[in-house]
Amino acid sequence: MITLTDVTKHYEGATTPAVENLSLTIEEGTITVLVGPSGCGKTTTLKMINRLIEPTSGDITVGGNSVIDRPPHELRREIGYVIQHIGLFPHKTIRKNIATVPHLLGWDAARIAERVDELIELVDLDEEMLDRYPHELSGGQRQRVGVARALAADPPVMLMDEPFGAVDPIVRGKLQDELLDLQRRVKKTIVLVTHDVDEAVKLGDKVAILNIGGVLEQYDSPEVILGSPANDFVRSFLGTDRGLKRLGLFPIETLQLDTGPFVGVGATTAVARSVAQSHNSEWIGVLAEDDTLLGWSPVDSLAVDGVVTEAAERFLSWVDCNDSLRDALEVIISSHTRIAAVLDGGTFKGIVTLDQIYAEIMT
Amino acid sequence: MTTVVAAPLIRWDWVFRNGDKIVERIIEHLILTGLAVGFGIAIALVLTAIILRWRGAYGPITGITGLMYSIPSVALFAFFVPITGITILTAEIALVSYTLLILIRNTIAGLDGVPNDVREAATGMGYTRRRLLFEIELPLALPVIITGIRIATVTVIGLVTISSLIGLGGLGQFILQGLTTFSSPIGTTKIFLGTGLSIVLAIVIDLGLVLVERLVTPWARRVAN
Ligand SMILES: Nc1ncnc2c1ncn2[C@@H]1O[C@H](COP(=O)(O)OP(=O)(O)OP(=O)(O)O)[C@@H](O)[C@H]1O
Ligand SMILES: [Mg+2]
Repeated sequence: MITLTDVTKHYEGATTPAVENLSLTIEEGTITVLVGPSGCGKTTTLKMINRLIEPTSGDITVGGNSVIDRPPHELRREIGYVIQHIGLFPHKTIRKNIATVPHLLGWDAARIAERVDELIELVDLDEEMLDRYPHELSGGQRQRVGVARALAADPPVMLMDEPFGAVDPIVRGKLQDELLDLQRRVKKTIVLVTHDVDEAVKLGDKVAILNIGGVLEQYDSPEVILGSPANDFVRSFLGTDRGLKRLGLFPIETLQLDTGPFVGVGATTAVARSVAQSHNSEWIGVLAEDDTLLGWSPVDSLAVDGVVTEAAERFLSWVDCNDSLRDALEVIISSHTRIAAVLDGGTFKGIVTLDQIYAEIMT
Repeated sequence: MTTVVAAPLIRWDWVFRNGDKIVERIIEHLILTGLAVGFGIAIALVLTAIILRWRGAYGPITGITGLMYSIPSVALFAFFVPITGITILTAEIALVSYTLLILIRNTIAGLDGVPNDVREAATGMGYTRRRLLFEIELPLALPVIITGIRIATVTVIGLVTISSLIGLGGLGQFILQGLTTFSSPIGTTKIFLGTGLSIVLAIVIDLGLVLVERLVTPWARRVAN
């Protein structure tokens, strides 16, 4: 656990403090995201935790001990740190870069080698990169090395300052997914700084919204913050698509799925018509024998008396049960059938309708 | 009636006959250069350490060493001869004082050139001030530091030639002797020999230092490939 109590940082010569009377409790094993406009004191706050910046007043504890009581270099070796521009050592190979803190802690060579192999796998990098220099890697690969280096001595706490700021949106999304995946396995106490709201709600178990001067405007789970912003600042900071962002937080699997107007291939057209009617639908979905999606047909086009043998149209898009309600909405508004078919590894599970999404937002 | 026979500029037979003497002069030259650069580096290191500790010392130290750098070597010799006599010490004081500004300025410039994010990452991961300097900052500054050593060394090789003027060894001796017997073919041979060998020595040592730089900075080498 990390606690900040009435922390103030007043840089010499500045007219107003960069951070003023900030109190924050960061739970063990969670990702806490500090987000806010540029210059609001995010980096300052983060650096006070590992004493790269000394607070003017107030107290900070990590794992129950006040950081002031420890020699800074010892404290820092127990806190993983990924800085805004990664800061890999250009004169050291990737192997040596990753081994930085174990080297400082004086581990023996065999133990370091073993740990480096573990880490390279953990962050999904190729072993052949170990003997390269940082400039011989792509931006995304360097980010991963930065994360591996911060994790090297298995610190309970990680501080990350815009760790994915320097890569393109696609790679960033992938790295974010990897961080979440990694966190499920390593369960660190992570404090992450970003100025990207989407990144904050995606990664944070808790999100702290800061205003200029390090003023804490709201500190809660992303669901609560997006659902009920504390004030106008938070509301405008979150943006007009706040509702959509919130939908992005709910996975489809939490819904009670509707079965929808679907029949198996081989059903009589009479049955198909009555299924469609009971769902108030003008189309009927057709499933293959192994419950995969075959497609759909307009009810009008069904033979008067016969068997459903094929579908007239294909589904152009669908969602997986791990996807979010935001993804489902995307599918609904872009399809002729106005539903999103939900699959679980290819097998049909049910459908999501606009009504269901509304109902979910309202609760 | 006299016939003027054009004398050859270089008497190679003299060169071959005096091979051992030439080698001796080259070795003297190298020793004088090595001593100057060696002591120069040692003193520059101490002064650089002082600057790193007290940044305010940078101005005064570069001011004084800059002054030493700008005094003509002959004047400096003349100034010290009455005090320290015609000794190696006199020559070395002059030579060392020439290297200091170059060495200190390049070392500081090299250290200042270390990217800030690298320094911050290192500190943030638990490097102490001392280990940061030796394991991160100095290695990264090496190319610039070695450039300083190269300039200092080449300069000193040239100046050692002049130090022969106060009667010390080195290749300058040949030039001095050559000047006193200028009209004879042996005289011109000596002048050419002294000058030419000084230049060759400077070039060879400079190339050697380039090689050293490439060896100690493997990461920089691969940038070019
Ligand atoms: N070393 C310093 N000396 C003086 N003022 C500083 C220093 N570092 C930061 N500041 C000021 O403190 C305030 C907060 O800076 P900080 O770097 O914490 O912002 P930030 O939230 O991380 O911004 P960004 O999103 O742009 O990185 C800014 O107004 C900045 O100008
Ligand atoms: Mg910042």
